[in-house]
Amino acid sequence: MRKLSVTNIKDSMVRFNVHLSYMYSKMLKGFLFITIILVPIHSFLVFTVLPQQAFRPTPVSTLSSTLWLTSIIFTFIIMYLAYSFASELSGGGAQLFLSHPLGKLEYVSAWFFTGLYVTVFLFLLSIILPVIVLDPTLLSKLSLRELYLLSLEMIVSGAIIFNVALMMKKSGLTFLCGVFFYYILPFVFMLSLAVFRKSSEFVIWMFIVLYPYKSMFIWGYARTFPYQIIQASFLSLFFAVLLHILAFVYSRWRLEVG
Amino acid sequence: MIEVKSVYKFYGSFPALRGVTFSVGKGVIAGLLGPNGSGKTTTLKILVGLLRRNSGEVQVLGYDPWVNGVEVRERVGILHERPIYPRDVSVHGLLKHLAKLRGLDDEEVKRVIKLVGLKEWEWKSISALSRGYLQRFGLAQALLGDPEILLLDEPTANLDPLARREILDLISILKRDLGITVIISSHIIPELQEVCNYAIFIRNGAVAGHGSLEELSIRYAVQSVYVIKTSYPRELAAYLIKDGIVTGVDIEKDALLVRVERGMNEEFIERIDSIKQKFNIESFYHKSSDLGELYEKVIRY
Repeated sequence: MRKLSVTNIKDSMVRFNVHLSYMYSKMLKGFLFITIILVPIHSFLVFTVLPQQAFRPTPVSTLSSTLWLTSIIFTFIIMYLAYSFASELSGGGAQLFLSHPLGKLEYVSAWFFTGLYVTVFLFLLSIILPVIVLDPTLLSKLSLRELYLLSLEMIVSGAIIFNVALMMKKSGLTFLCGVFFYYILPFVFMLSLAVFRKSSEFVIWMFIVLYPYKSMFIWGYARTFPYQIIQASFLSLFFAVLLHILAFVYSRWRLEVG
Repeated sequence: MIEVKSVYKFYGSFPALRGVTFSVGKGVIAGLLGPNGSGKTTTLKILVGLLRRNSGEVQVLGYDPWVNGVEVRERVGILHERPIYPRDVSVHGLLKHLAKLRGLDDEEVKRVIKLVGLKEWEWKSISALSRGYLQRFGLAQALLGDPEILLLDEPTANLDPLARREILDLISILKRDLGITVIISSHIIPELQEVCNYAIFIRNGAVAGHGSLEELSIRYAVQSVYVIKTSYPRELAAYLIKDGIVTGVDIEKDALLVRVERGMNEEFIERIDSIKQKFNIESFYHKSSDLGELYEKVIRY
Protein backbone atom coordinates (compact mmCIF):
# COMPACT_ATOMS: atom_id res chain seq x y z
CA MET A 1 0.00 0.00 0.00
CA ARG A 2 1.19 3.52 -0.74
CA LYS A 3 2.76 5.16 2.31
CA LEU A 4 0.86 8.09 3.78
CA SER A 5 3.53 10.58 4.79
CA VAL A 6 3.69 14.36 5.21
CA THR A 7 5.83 14.61 2.04
CA ASN A 8 3.31 12.56 0.05
CA ILE A 9 0.42 14.71 1.26
CA LYS A 10 2.38 17.87 0.47
CA ASP A 11 3.26 16.64 -3.04
CA SER A 12 -0.35 15.60 -3.55
CA MET A 13 -1.58 19.07 -2.54
CA VAL A 14 0.88 20.69 -4.96
CA ARG A 15 -0.37 18.52 -7.87
CA PHE A 16 -4.00 19.15 -6.92
CA ASN A 17 -3.27 22.87 -6.90
CA VAL A 18 -1.52 22.75 -10.29
CA HIS A 19 -4.44 20.93 -11.89
CA LEU A 20 -6.98 23.18 -10.21
CA SER A 21 -5.20 26.27 -11.58
CA TYR A 22 -5.27 24.73 -15.06
CA MET A 23 -9.01 24.02 -14.77
CA TYR A 24 -9.69 27.56 -13.59
CA SER A 25 -7.70 29.04 -16.43
CA LYS A 26 -9.74 26.93 -18.87
CA MET A 27 -13.07 27.82 -17.30
CA LEU A 28 -12.29 31.40 -16.38
CA LYS A 29 -13.95 32.89 -19.46
CA GLY A 30 -17.16 30.95 -18.86
CA PHE A 31 -17.23 31.79 -15.16
CA LEU A 32 -16.56 35.47 -15.86
CA PHE A 33 -19.29 35.55 -18.50
CA ILE A 34 -21.83 34.03 -16.12
CA THR A 35 -20.85 36.33 -13.26
CA ILE A 36 -21.04 39.40 -15.49
CA ILE A 37 -24.52 38.39 -16.69
CA LEU A 38 -25.81 37.50 -13.23
CA VAL A 39 -24.43 40.37 -11.17
CA PRO A 40 -26.68 42.98 -12.86
CA ILE A 41 -29.70 40.65 -12.59
CA HIS A 42 -29.05 40.11 -8.92
CA SER A 43 -28.34 43.80 -8.41
CA PHE A 44 -31.72 44.65 -9.84
CA LEU A 45 -33.62 41.95 -7.94
CA VAL A 46 -31.83 42.47 -4.64
CA PHE A 47 -32.40 46.21 -4.72
CA THR A 48 -36.06 45.89 -5.46
CA VAL A 49 -36.53 43.31 -2.72
CA LEU A 50 -34.23 44.25 0.16
CA PRO A 51 -35.70 47.68 1.00
CA GLN A 52 -39.18 46.14 1.19
CA GLN A 53 -37.91 43.58 3.63
CA ALA A 54 -36.16 46.23 5.68
CA PHE A 55 -39.43 48.07 6.20
CA ARG A 56 -41.89 45.16 6.18
CA PRO A 57 -40.15 42.16 7.70
CA THR A 58 -41.98 38.91 6.99
CA PRO A 59 -41.42 35.44 8.45
CA VAL A 60 -40.34 34.10 5.06
CA SER A 61 -37.58 36.14 3.53
CA THR A 62 -38.68 37.97 0.39
CA LEU A 63 -35.29 37.23 -1.13
CA SER A 64 -36.36 33.63 -1.54
CA SER A 65 -38.07 34.04 -4.88
CA THR A 66 -34.99 35.75 -6.27
CA LEU A 67 -32.56 33.18 -4.91
CA TRP A 68 -34.66 30.29 -6.06
CA LEU A 69 -34.86 31.70 -9.55
CA THR A 70 -31.18 32.48 -10.01
CA SER A 71 -30.03 29.30 -8.30
CA ILE A 72 -31.59 27.46 -11.26
CA ILE A 73 -28.95 29.02 -13.51
CA PHE A 74 -26.17 27.90 -11.18
CA THR A 75 -27.55 24.38 -10.79
CA PHE A 76 -27.50 24.27 -14.58
CA ILE A 77 -23.80 25.17 -14.47
CA ILE A 78 -23.16 22.36 -11.96
CA MET A 79 -24.99 19.96 -14.29
CA TYR A 80 -22.99 21.15 -17.27
CA LEU A 81 -19.69 20.72 -15.38
CA ALA A 82 -20.69 17.21 -14.22
CA TYR A 83 -21.57 16.46 -17.86
CA SER A 84 -18.10 17.70 -18.93
CA PHE A 85 -16.50 15.61 -16.17
CA ALA A 86 -18.25 12.44 -17.43
CA SER A 87 -17.27 13.31 -21.02
CA GLU A 88 -13.64 13.76 -20.02
CA LEU A 89 -13.64 10.42 -18.20
CA SER A 90 -15.27 8.50 -21.04
CA GLY A 91 -13.82 10.40 -24.00
CA GLY A 92 -10.13 10.02 -23.22
CA GLY A 93 -9.35 13.50 -21.87
CA ALA A 94 -8.81 12.12 -18.37
CA GLN A 95 -6.39 9.59 -19.81
CA LEU A 96 -4.01 12.39 -20.81
CA PHE A 97 -3.81 13.96 -17.35
CA LEU A 98 -3.74 10.63 -15.53
CA SER A 99 -0.86 9.45 -17.72
CA HIS A 100 1.24 12.00 -15.86
CA PRO A 101 2.00 12.03 -12.15
CA LEU A 102 -1.45 13.27 -11.16
CA GLY A 103 -3.22 11.00 -8.67
CA LYS A 104 -6.78 9.92 -9.41
CA LEU A 105 -7.89 11.36 -6.10
CA GLU A 106 -6.28 14.71 -6.95
CA TYR A 107 -7.89 14.70 -10.39
CA VAL A 108 -11.38 13.90 -9.08
CA SER A 109 -11.03 16.37 -6.21
CA ALA A 110 -10.15 19.13 -8.67
CA TRP A 111 -13.38 18.45 -10.60
CA PHE A 112 -15.49 18.31 -7.43
CA PHE A 113 -13.92 21.51 -6.18
CA THR A 114 -14.44 23.38 -9.43
CA GLY A 115 -17.86 21.93 -10.22
CA LEU A 116 -19.39 22.34 -6.79
CA TYR A 117 -17.58 24.81 -4.59
CA VAL A 118 -16.43 27.35 -7.14
CA THR A 119 -19.91 27.42 -8.68
CA VAL A 120 -21.61 27.84 -5.30
CA PHE A 121 -19.03 30.48 -4.36
CA LEU A 122 -19.73 32.37 -7.60
CA PHE A 123 -23.44 32.14 -6.87
CA LEU A 124 -22.94 33.69 -3.44
CA LEU A 125 -20.57 36.25 -4.89
CA SER A 126 -23.10 37.30 -7.53
CA ILE A 127 -25.55 38.10 -4.70
CA ILE A 128 -23.19 39.67 -2.21
CA LEU A 129 -21.04 41.65 -4.65
CA PRO A 130 -23.76 44.05 -5.87
CA VAL A 131 -24.90 44.67 -2.30
CA ILE A 132 -21.36 45.46 -1.12
CA VAL A 133 -20.74 47.76 -4.07
CA LEU A 134 -24.06 49.60 -4.08
CA ASP A 135 -25.17 49.73 -0.45
CA PRO A 136 -23.16 47.76 2.15
CA THR A 137 -25.69 48.64 4.87
CA LEU A 138 -28.17 46.25 3.22
CA LEU A 139 -25.73 43.36 3.76
CA SER A 140 -27.25 42.71 7.18
CA LYS A 141 -30.62 42.12 5.54
CA LEU A 142 -29.34 39.13 3.62
CA SER A 143 -30.42 35.97 5.39
CA LEU A 144 -27.34 33.86 6.11
CA ARG A 145 -29.65 30.99 6.95
CA GLU A 146 -31.16 31.10 3.48
CA LEU A 147 -27.77 31.32 1.79
CA TYR A 148 -26.46 28.40 3.87
CA LEU A 149 -29.44 26.14 3.17
CA LEU A 150 -29.53 26.96 -0.53
CA SER A 151 -25.77 26.36 -0.90
CA LEU A 152 -26.13 23.06 0.96
CA GLU A 153 -29.02 22.01 -1.29
CA MET A 154 -26.97 22.79 -4.40
CA ILE A 155 -24.00 20.84 -2.99
CA VAL A 156 -25.97 17.71 -1.92
CA SER A 157 -27.63 17.19 -5.31
CA GLY A 158 -24.41 18.28 -7.07
CA ALA A 159 -22.42 15.65 -5.17
CA ILE A 160 -24.92 12.97 -6.25
CA ILE A 161 -24.62 14.06 -9.88
CA PHE A 162 -20.79 14.15 -9.74
CA ASN A 163 -20.80 10.65 -8.22
CA VAL A 164 -22.96 9.44 -11.12
CA ALA A 165 -20.51 11.06 -13.58
CA LEU A 166 -17.54 9.44 -11.80
CA MET A 167 -18.97 5.94 -11.52
CA MET A 168 -21.05 5.65 -14.70
CA LYS A 169 -18.85 7.83 -16.99
CA LYS A 170 -21.91 8.58 -19.12
CA SER A 171 -22.44 12.25 -19.89
CA GLY A 172 -26.07 11.91 -21.04
CA LEU A 173 -27.04 9.95 -17.96
CA THR A 174 -25.25 12.49 -15.74
CA PHE A 175 -27.18 15.36 -17.29
CA LEU A 176 -30.49 13.52 -16.97
CA CYS A 177 -29.65 12.74 -13.37
CA GLY A 178 -29.04 16.46 -12.80
CA VAL A 179 -32.41 17.38 -14.30
CA PHE A 180 -34.05 14.72 -12.14
CA PHE A 181 -32.43 15.73 -8.83
CA TYR A 182 -32.54 19.49 -9.30
CA TYR A 183 -35.85 20.02 -11.10
CA ILE A 184 -38.08 16.92 -11.12
CA LEU A 185 -37.64 15.09 -7.79
CA PRO A 186 -38.34 18.09 -5.53
CA PHE A 187 -41.68 18.63 -7.28
CA VAL A 188 -42.52 14.94 -7.14
CA PHE A 189 -41.78 15.07 -3.40
CA MET A 190 -43.81 18.22 -2.84
CA LEU A 191 -46.68 16.88 -4.90
CA SER A 192 -46.76 13.63 -2.96
CA LEU A 193 -46.55 15.54 0.33
CA ALA A 194 -49.50 17.68 -0.74
CA VAL A 195 -51.61 14.80 -2.06
CA PHE A 196 -50.87 12.31 0.68
CA ARG A 197 -51.24 14.46 3.74
CA LYS A 198 -50.04 11.77 6.08
CA SER A 199 -46.70 11.11 4.47
CA SER A 200 -44.35 8.70 6.12
CA GLU A 201 -41.61 10.18 8.27
CA PHE A 202 -39.01 8.55 6.03
CA VAL A 203 -40.20 10.50 2.97
CA ILE A 204 -40.18 13.74 4.95
CA TRP A 205 -36.63 13.15 6.16
CA MET A 206 -35.50 12.22 2.65
CA PHE A 207 -36.90 15.50 1.41
CA ILE A 208 -35.15 17.41 4.19
CA VAL A 209 -31.81 15.73 3.53
CA LEU A 210 -31.94 16.29 -0.22
CA TYR A 211 -33.64 19.70 -0.23
CA PRO A 212 -32.96 21.59 3.01
CA TYR A 213 -33.74 24.96 1.41
CA LYS A 214 -37.11 23.90 0.03
CA SER A 215 -37.86 22.21 3.36
CA MET A 216 -37.45 25.57 5.02
CA PHE A 217 -40.52 26.85 3.17
CA ILE A 218 -42.63 23.85 4.04
CA TRP A 219 -41.67 23.20 7.64
CA GLY A 220 -39.23 25.93 8.57
CA TYR A 221 -41.86 28.11 10.18
CA ALA A 222 -44.45 25.45 11.01
CA ARG A 223 -44.92 24.68 14.64
CA THR A 224 -45.92 21.09 13.79
CA PHE A 225 -42.37 20.19 12.78
CA PRO A 226 -40.50 19.09 15.90
CA TYR A 227 -36.99 20.11 14.76
CA GLN A 228 -35.29 23.34 13.77
CA ILE A 229 -34.50 23.24 10.05
CA ILE A 230 -30.92 24.32 10.73
CA GLN A 231 -30.47 21.36 13.08
CA ALA A 232 -32.10 19.05 10.53
CA SER A 233 -29.78 20.38 7.86
CA PHE A 234 -26.83 18.83 9.67
CA LEU A 235 -28.13 15.56 8.34
CA SER A 236 -27.82 17.00 4.82
CA LEU A 237 -24.32 18.13 5.66
CA PHE A 238 -23.46 14.65 6.89
CA PHE A 239 -24.95 13.13 3.72
CA ALA A 240 -22.91 15.52 1.56
CA VAL A 241 -19.73 14.54 3.44
CA LEU A 242 -20.59 10.85 2.92
CA LEU A 243 -21.04 11.41 -0.82
CA HIS A 244 -17.64 13.10 -0.96
CA ILE A 245 -15.98 10.23 0.93
CA LEU A 246 -17.65 7.73 -1.40
CA ALA A 247 -16.30 9.59 -4.44
CA PHE A 248 -12.80 9.85 -3.01
CA VAL A 249 -12.64 6.18 -1.98
CA TYR A 250 -13.95 5.15 -5.41
CA SER A 251 -11.46 7.36 -7.24
CA ARG A 252 -8.53 6.06 -5.16
CA TRP A 253 -9.33 2.34 -5.37
CA ARG A 254 -11.75 1.65 -8.20
CA LEU A 255 -11.50 4.32 -10.89
CA GLU A 256 -10.27 2.97 -14.22
CA VAL A 257 -9.59 5.23 -17.17
CA GLY A 258 -9.31 4.08 -20.73
CA MET B 1 12.41 -2.79 -15.44
CA ILE B 2 9.01 -4.29 -16.31
CA GLU B 3 7.79 -7.59 -14.87
CA VAL B 4 4.33 -8.91 -15.74
CA LYS B 5 3.26 -12.25 -14.26
CA SER B 6 0.03 -14.15 -14.99
CA VAL B 7 -2.08 -11.03 -15.44
CA TYR B 8 -5.79 -11.45 -16.04
CA LYS B 9 -8.13 -8.65 -16.97
CA PHE B 10 -11.85 -8.95 -17.58
CA TYR B 11 -14.24 -6.42 -19.11
CA GLY B 12 -17.42 -7.73 -17.58
CA SER B 13 -17.23 -11.42 -18.39
CA PHE B 14 -14.99 -10.93 -21.44
CA PRO B 15 -11.37 -11.93 -20.75
CA ALA B 16 -9.19 -9.22 -22.34
CA LEU B 17 -5.98 -10.66 -20.85
CA ARG B 18 -5.54 -14.31 -19.94
CA GLY B 19 -2.41 -14.90 -17.89
CA VAL B 20 -0.09 -12.46 -19.66
CA THR B 21 3.54 -12.96 -18.60
CA PHE B 22 6.64 -11.19 -19.91
CA SER B 23 9.54 -9.05 -18.77
CA VAL B 24 11.43 -6.21 -20.41
CA GLY B 25 14.93 -5.16 -19.37
CA LYS B 26 16.73 -1.82 -19.47
CA GLY B 27 17.54 -0.18 -22.81
CA VAL B 28 15.36 -2.59 -24.78
CA ILE B 29 13.15 -1.49 -27.67
CA ALA B 30 10.35 -4.02 -27.48
CA GLY B 31 7.60 -4.49 -30.01
CA LEU B 32 4.25 -5.54 -28.58
CA LEU B 33 2.76 -7.35 -31.54
CA GLY B 34 -0.58 -8.91 -32.15
CA PRO B 35 -3.79 -8.57 -34.12
CA ASN B 36 -6.39 -5.91 -33.31
CA GLY B 37 -8.21 -6.67 -30.08
CA SER B 38 -5.52 -9.03 -28.80
CA GLY B 39 -4.96 -7.05 -25.57
CA LYS B 40 -2.03 -4.77 -26.44
CA THR B 41 -3.66 -1.51 -25.35
CA THR B 42 -5.06 -3.09 -22.18
CA THR B 43 -1.56 -4.31 -21.29
CA LEU B 44 -0.04 -0.85 -21.74
CA LYS B 45 -2.78 0.80 -19.68
CA ILE B 46 -2.24 -1.68 -16.86
CA LEU B 47 1.49 -0.81 -16.94
CA VAL B 48 0.77 2.82 -16.02
CA GLY B 49 -2.03 2.09 -13.57
CA LEU B 50 -4.91 3.41 -15.68
CA LEU B 51 -6.59 0.01 -15.65
CA ARG B 52 -6.79 -2.46 -12.77
CA ARG B 53 -5.87 -6.07 -13.32
CA ASN B 54 -8.18 -8.75 -11.91
CA SER B 55 -5.28 -10.95 -10.85
CA GLY B 56 -1.56 -11.41 -11.36
CA GLU B 57 1.47 -9.28 -10.57
CA VAL B 58 2.86 -6.19 -12.28
CA GLN B 59 6.05 -4.39 -11.33
CA VAL B 60 7.24 -1.32 -13.21
CA LEU B 61 10.54 0.13 -11.95
CA GLY B 62 9.93 -1.75 -8.71
CA TYR B 63 6.42 -0.40 -8.14
CA ASP B 64 2.94 -1.83 -8.56
CA PRO B 65 1.40 0.70 -10.99
CA TRP B 66 -2.15 0.29 -9.64
CA VAL B 67 -1.06 1.08 -6.07
CA ASN B 68 1.80 3.48 -6.80
CA GLY B 69 0.54 5.01 -10.04
CA VAL B 70 2.00 8.44 -9.37
CA GLU B 71 5.49 7.06 -8.65
CA VAL B 72 5.37 4.98 -11.85
CA ARG B 73 4.06 7.78 -14.04
CA GLU B 74 6.76 10.13 -12.76
CA ARG B 75 9.27 7.91 -14.58
CA VAL B 76 7.21 6.54 -17.46
CA GLY B 77 5.86 8.37 -20.51
CA ILE B 78 2.97 7.06 -22.60
CA LEU B 79 1.50 7.90 -25.98
CA HIS B 80 -2.04 6.54 -26.25
CA GLU B 81 -3.56 5.00 -29.35
CA ARG B 82 -6.37 7.49 -29.91
CA PRO B 83 -5.52 10.37 -27.62
CA ILE B 84 -8.01 13.16 -27.08
CA TYR B 85 -6.48 16.49 -26.21
CA PRO B 86 -8.24 19.65 -25.05
CA ARG B 87 -8.75 21.61 -28.27
CA ASP B 88 -8.85 25.13 -26.89
CA VAL B 89 -5.33 25.35 -25.45
CA SER B 90 -2.05 26.07 -27.15
CA VAL B 91 0.62 23.40 -27.63
CA HIS B 92 2.86 25.27 -25.21
CA GLY B 93 0.04 25.85 -22.70
CA LEU B 94 -0.91 22.19 -22.41
CA LEU B 95 2.69 20.97 -22.30
CA LYS B 96 3.44 23.57 -19.63
CA HIS B 97 0.61 22.25 -17.47
CA LEU B 98 1.72 18.63 -17.91
CA ALA B 99 5.32 19.65 -17.15
CA LYS B 100 4.14 21.40 -13.98
CA LEU B 101 2.48 18.17 -12.84
CA ARG B 102 5.95 16.64 -13.05
CA GLY B 103 7.48 19.58 -11.19
CA LEU B 104 9.28 20.76 -14.35
CA ASP B 105 9.71 24.27 -15.72
CA ASP B 106 9.40 26.00 -19.08
CA GLU B 107 12.87 24.90 -20.17
CA GLU B 108 11.67 21.30 -20.30
CA VAL B 109 8.69 22.32 -22.44
CA LYS B 110 11.02 24.05 -24.89
CA ARG B 111 13.30 20.99 -24.94
CA VAL B 112 10.59 18.51 -25.90
CA ILE B 113 9.03 20.91 -28.42
CA LYS B 114 12.43 21.17 -30.14
CA LEU B 115 13.02 17.42 -29.87
CA VAL B 116 9.83 16.46 -31.71
CA GLY B 117 9.97 19.35 -34.19
CA LEU B 118 6.97 21.35 -33.01
CA LYS B 119 8.74 24.72 -32.74
CA GLU B 120 6.65 26.32 -35.48
CA TRP B 121 3.45 25.19 -33.79
CA GLU B 122 4.39 26.06 -30.23
CA TRP B 123 1.88 28.87 -29.79
CA LYS B 124 -0.82 27.45 -32.05
CA SER B 125 -3.98 25.90 -30.68
CA ILE B 126 -4.08 22.09 -30.41
CA SER B 127 -7.13 22.18 -32.71
CA ALA B 128 -4.92 23.59 -35.51
CA LEU B 129 -2.63 20.54 -35.56
CA SER B 130 -2.83 17.89 -38.27
CA ARG B 131 -2.86 14.18 -37.35
CA GLY B 132 0.90 13.93 -37.85
CA TYR B 133 1.59 16.93 -35.65
CA LEU B 134 -0.90 15.72 -33.04
CA GLN B 135 1.11 12.52 -32.89
CA ARG B 136 4.28 14.60 -32.46
CA PHE B 137 2.52 16.45 -29.65
CA GLY B 138 1.66 13.06 -28.13
CA LEU B 139 5.31 12.10 -28.26
CA ALA B 140 6.33 15.45 -26.75
CA GLN B 141 4.03 15.01 -23.74
CA ALA B 142 5.27 11.42 -23.30
CA LEU B 143 8.90 12.60 -23.33
CA LEU B 144 8.46 15.26 -20.65
CA GLY B 145 10.97 14.76 -17.86
CA ASP B 146 13.15 12.24 -19.74
CA PRO B 147 11.19 9.12 -18.83
CA GLU B 148 13.09 5.90 -18.16
CA ILE B 149 10.39 3.93 -19.98
CA LEU B 150 8.40 5.05 -23.00
CA LEU B 151 5.18 3.26 -23.97
CA LEU B 152 3.90 3.93 -27.48
CA ASP B 153 0.51 2.57 -28.44
CA GLU B 154 0.12 2.37 -32.22
CA PRO B 155 2.23 5.51 -32.75
CA THR B 156 1.72 5.49 -36.53
CA ALA B 157 -1.94 4.45 -36.70
CA ASN B 158 -4.11 6.51 -39.06
CA LEU B 159 -1.16 8.52 -40.38
CA ASP B 160 -0.34 9.13 -44.03
CA PRO B 161 2.93 7.58 -45.30
CA LEU B 162 4.91 10.81 -44.92
CA ALA B 163 3.77 11.44 -41.34
CA ARG B 164 4.36 7.76 -40.57
CA ARG B 165 7.93 8.02 -41.85
CA GLU B 166 8.52 11.16 -39.75
CA ILE B 167 7.28 9.49 -36.56
CA LEU B 168 9.42 6.38 -37.20
CA ASP B 169 12.50 8.55 -37.79
CA LEU B 170 11.73 10.32 -34.54
CA ILE B 171 11.52 7.02 -32.64
CA SER B 172 14.85 5.96 -34.18
CA ILE B 173 16.42 9.21 -32.99
CA LEU B 174 15.02 8.64 -29.48
CA LYS B 175 16.42 5.12 -29.48
CA ARG B 176 19.84 6.31 -30.62
CA ASP B 177 20.19 9.50 -28.55
CA LEU B 178 18.29 8.88 -25.33
CA GLY B 179 18.84 5.15 -24.80
CA ILE B 180 15.52 4.67 -23.01
CA THR B 181 13.47 1.50 -22.70
CA VAL B 182 10.61 1.57 -25.19
CA ILE B 183 7.59 -0.67 -25.73
CA ILE B 184 5.87 -0.04 -29.05
CA SER B 185 2.53 -1.63 -29.65
CA SER B 186 1.63 -2.14 -33.28
CA HIS B 187 0.21 -4.56 -35.79
CA ILE B 188 2.21 -3.04 -38.65
CA ILE B 189 5.21 -5.37 -38.70
CA PRO B 190 7.62 -3.64 -41.16
CA GLU B 191 7.65 -0.53 -38.99
CA LEU B 192 8.71 -2.40 -35.90
CA GLN B 193 11.34 -4.32 -37.87
CA GLU B 194 13.30 -1.07 -38.16
CA VAL B 195 13.40 -0.18 -34.47
CA CYS B 196 12.89 -3.25 -32.25
CA ASN B 197 15.41 -5.64 -30.73
CA TYR B 198 12.86 -7.48 -28.59
CA ALA B 199 9.37 -8.75 -29.30
CA ILE B 200 6.32 -9.72 -27.28
CA PHE B 201 3.69 -11.52 -29.34
CA ILE B 202 0.21 -11.38 -27.92
CA ARG B 203 -2.75 -13.37 -29.23
CA ASN B 204 -6.26 -13.54 -27.77
CA GLY B 205 -5.12 -11.95 -24.52
CA ALA B 206 -2.21 -14.32 -23.94
CA VAL B 207 1.50 -14.02 -24.70
CA ALA B 208 2.34 -16.42 -27.51
CA GLY B 209 6.07 -15.76 -27.30
CA HIS B 210 8.55 -13.14 -26.10
CA GLY B 211 12.27 -12.60 -26.11
CA SER B 212 15.07 -10.86 -27.98
CA LEU B 213 14.81 -11.13 -31.75
CA GLU B 214 17.89 -13.34 -31.76
CA GLU B 215 16.41 -15.74 -29.19
CA LEU B 216 13.12 -15.83 -31.07
CA SER B 217 14.73 -16.38 -34.45
CA ILE B 218 16.63 -19.36 -33.01
CA ARG B 219 13.51 -20.71 -31.26
CA TYR B 220 11.25 -20.34 -34.28
CA ALA B 221 13.90 -21.00 -36.97
CA VAL B 222 13.58 -17.62 -38.68
CA GLN B 223 16.12 -16.06 -41.01
CA SER B 224 18.47 -13.63 -39.21
CA VAL B 225 21.05 -11.09 -40.20
CA TYR B 226 24.36 -10.86 -38.32
CA VAL B 227 27.08 -8.21 -38.54
CA ILE B 228 30.68 -9.42 -38.40
CA LYS B 229 33.62 -7.01 -38.09
CA THR B 230 36.83 -8.50 -39.41
CA SER B 231 40.18 -7.59 -40.93
CA TYR B 232 39.55 -10.02 -43.82
CA PRO B 233 36.01 -9.41 -45.04
CA ARG B 234 36.43 -10.84 -48.53
CA GLU B 235 38.14 -14.01 -47.37
CA LEU B 236 35.55 -14.55 -44.63
CA ALA B 237 32.67 -13.95 -47.09
CA ALA B 238 34.08 -16.58 -49.47
CA TYR B 239 34.51 -19.04 -46.59
CA LEU B 240 30.96 -18.57 -45.28
CA ILE B 241 29.29 -18.90 -48.68
CA LYS B 242 31.19 -22.12 -49.33
CA ASP B 243 30.10 -23.40 -45.90
CA GLY B 244 26.38 -23.44 -46.74
CA ILE B 245 25.08 -22.08 -43.42
CA VAL B 246 24.49 -18.61 -44.82
CA THR B 247 22.14 -17.62 -47.62
CA GLY B 248 23.78 -14.32 -48.50
CA VAL B 249 26.67 -12.02 -47.60
CA ASP B 250 27.10 -8.28 -48.20
CA ILE B 251 30.39 -6.51 -47.63
CA GLU B 252 30.27 -3.02 -46.10
CA LYS B 253 33.80 -1.60 -45.53
CA ASP B 254 35.31 -3.80 -42.80
CA ALA B 255 32.02 -5.48 -41.88
CA LEU B 256 30.00 -8.31 -43.29
CA LEU B 257 26.21 -8.47 -43.28
CA VAL B 258 25.42 -12.16 -43.17
CA ARG B 259 21.99 -13.72 -43.71
CA VAL B 260 21.87 -17.01 -41.87
CA GLU B 261 19.83 -19.98 -43.09
CA ARG B 262 16.59 -20.65 -41.15
CA GLY B 263 17.20 -22.78 -38.08
CA MET B 264 21.00 -22.59 -38.43
CA ASN B 265 21.67 -19.75 -35.96
CA GLU B 266 23.26 -21.92 -33.28
CA GLU B 267 25.53 -23.69 -35.77
CA PHE B 268 26.49 -20.31 -37.24
CA ILE B 269 27.43 -18.89 -33.82
CA GLU B 270 29.52 -21.98 -33.05
CA ARG B 271 31.23 -21.76 -36.44
CA ILE B 272 32.10 -18.07 -35.99
CA ASP B 273 33.52 -18.80 -32.54
CA SER B 274 35.74 -21.48 -34.01
CA ILE B 275 37.18 -19.22 -36.77
CA LYS B 276 37.53 -16.04 -34.71
CA GLN B 277 41.33 -16.08 -34.66
CA LYS B 278 41.77 -17.33 -38.21
CA PHE B 279 39.87 -14.34 -39.73
CA ASN B 280 40.73 -11.86 -36.94
CA ILE B 281 37.04 -11.28 -36.06
CA GLU B 282 36.77 -8.22 -33.80
CA SER B 283 33.07 -8.53 -33.07
CA PHE B 284 29.88 -10.10 -34.31
CA TYR B 285 26.31 -9.43 -33.30
CA HIS B 286 22.74 -10.15 -34.26
CA LYS B 287 21.39 -7.25 -36.31
CA SER B 288 17.85 -8.22 -37.11
CA SER B 289 15.41 -11.02 -37.76
CA ASP B 290 12.57 -11.18 -40.18
CA LEU B 291 9.83 -9.96 -37.86
CA GLY B 292 7.13 -10.68 -40.42
CA GLU B 293 8.20 -14.31 -40.60
CA LEU B 294 8.39 -14.46 -36.79
CA TYR B 295 4.88 -12.99 -36.55
CA GLU B 296 3.57 -15.58 -38.98
CA LYS B 297 5.14 -18.41 -37.02
CA VAL B 298 4.25 -17.21 -33.52
CA ILE B 299 0.82 -15.67 -34.03
CA ARG B 300 -0.66 -17.64 -36.91
CA TYR B 301 0.49 -21.10 -35.88
